[in-house]
Amino acid sequence: MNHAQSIRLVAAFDLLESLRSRKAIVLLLLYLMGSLGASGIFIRILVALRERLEEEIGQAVDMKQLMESPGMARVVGGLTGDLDVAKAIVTIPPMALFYGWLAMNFVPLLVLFTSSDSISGDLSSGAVRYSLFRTDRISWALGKLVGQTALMAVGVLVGAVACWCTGLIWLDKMPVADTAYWLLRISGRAIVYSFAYLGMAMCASQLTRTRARAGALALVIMFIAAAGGSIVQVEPLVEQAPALFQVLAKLFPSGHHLSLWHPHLSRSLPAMLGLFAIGLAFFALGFWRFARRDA
Amino acid sequence: MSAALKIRGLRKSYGRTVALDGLDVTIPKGAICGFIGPNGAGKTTTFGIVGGLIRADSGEVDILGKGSLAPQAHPGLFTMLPQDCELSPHVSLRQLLTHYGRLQGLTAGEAQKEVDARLDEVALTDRAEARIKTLSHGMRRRVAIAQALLGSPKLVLLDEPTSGLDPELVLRMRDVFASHRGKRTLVVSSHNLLELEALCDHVIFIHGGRCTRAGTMAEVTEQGLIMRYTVEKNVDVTPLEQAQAGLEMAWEGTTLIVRGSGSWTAPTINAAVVPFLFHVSAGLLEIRRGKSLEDAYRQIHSEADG
Repeated sequence: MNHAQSIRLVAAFDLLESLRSRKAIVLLLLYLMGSLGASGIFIRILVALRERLEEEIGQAVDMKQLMESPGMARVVGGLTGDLDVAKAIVTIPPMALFYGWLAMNFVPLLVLFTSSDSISGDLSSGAVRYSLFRTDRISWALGKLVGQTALMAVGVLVGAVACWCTGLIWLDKMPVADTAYWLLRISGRAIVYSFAYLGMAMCASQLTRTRARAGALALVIMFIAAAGGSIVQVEPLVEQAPALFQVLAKLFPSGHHLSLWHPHLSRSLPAMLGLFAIGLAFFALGFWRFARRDA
Repeated sequence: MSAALKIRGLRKSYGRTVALDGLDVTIPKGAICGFIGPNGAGKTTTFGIVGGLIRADSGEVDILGKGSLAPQAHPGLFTMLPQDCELSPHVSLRQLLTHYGRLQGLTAGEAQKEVDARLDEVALTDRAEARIKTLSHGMRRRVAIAQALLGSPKLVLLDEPTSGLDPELVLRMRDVFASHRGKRTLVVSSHNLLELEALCDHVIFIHGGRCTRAGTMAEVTEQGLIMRYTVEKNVDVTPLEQAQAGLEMAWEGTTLIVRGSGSWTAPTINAAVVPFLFHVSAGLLEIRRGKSLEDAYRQIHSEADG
């Protein structure tokens, strides 16, 4: 049995095990309900805004035209600091755009709860001992990482479907196919973005052998990553040494956030690779310890 | 006979506590070997190191002549039953065992057949689709035994395999292990010496992280040299001792222990002693060959303690 086969087997079993555990099901349901609720609230705000606008200008408002207007692009450009990104963002259907924001903010939290005990749990229960004489540690740990990535993807996609269904029911004139297409694209970006945080959770899971410690450590690592990412983007600091801080920002997931939305692959692909590398680097740091410890 | 497991100079410390202190062990292929020692002797640590779960400080482990455990070098050739480890609670017995079978290199079809055979062996066929978390402690223990016997491993380490099982299941599991005699090498760590005496053909005693005695069950229990006769009443055996050169005799309660030296064998000792005991009307109740494993353990343990 080669490494790829072992990784595939461990990943498939890990996903099956996670999907049959009460904890993962409850967390996925909570995320699903959160997506449904937040989408519903977003639609109400969107409808209220349109009605208000129609009242003020005295004629029907086409949300698509409004979103894609040069004025809106300038407003979003001001918020993002990148006109190309702003022009790309305003072409995204509102439901997909909203879901992208929701997923990128909440999936890292979901990952913290679902994945931080993925390896530490098996270490503390001893279940790992039934596997490690059958396959090598790197294949087993990578299999766990792939399994947890798949679990995260299931969560993100289920949330996207919930968001789409909510829009279909409550939002007038939702571009059904366009929204579905963009929800799928944005779900992919959310998965890549959250993978960086998954790497942190898996790092913590390999560094400790109790579930509680792993959860706490993952929270600390994620907090430091979020705080660090914000600090290196503070303008007065960046102005001191722009090149240095531009590089430092790339060490944190938030440093790649904006580029993920860029219309050109030359900007979005490095961001995706950067996020993937951050996740893998944290995973590798954890594995460095796991490879040397007694199981 | 070539070795299934060879351990040389194995050392492991946990902080200041020395668990293994230069352990040397050789277990021949095809043996069912008892691994015996008091708590803290280093049995579980040894199993952990051989199974690649625990990192040794120094020393060498050679499994089936292919070096220390590497799943790529020993595909499906080595399995073990670790001590006190929980099984994944959310999946069914079949899913779990199939996963382990696949992981050690069986195809989906082979794994399916193996799982059916092993579940039958441990009497859990009717619970195959039940989730692990719904099983009793004894049932989980049997699932753990089943996973260790999956496939065609050539070396199987079993750490306290029957702890927590009722007497009927202990007997059943002993028969299961015995049915693998000759097909694979089993190393069984247990504190139940009666069980080991009935099952094993080889024994290794370990104390303070070192091997204190190793050999066949016959050698360790001196089956070729000692006979034990339990009688109703003690009698004077001086005339017999004087008549038969090379026989030493001593009473242990109502049991006469006869040790032969030189050309004496079990049948010739019987031929000399049994008629005498009938002649003096000692009331012969039981004849046993050699010492019990428990006696051997006590003796070796006290020698090791100095």
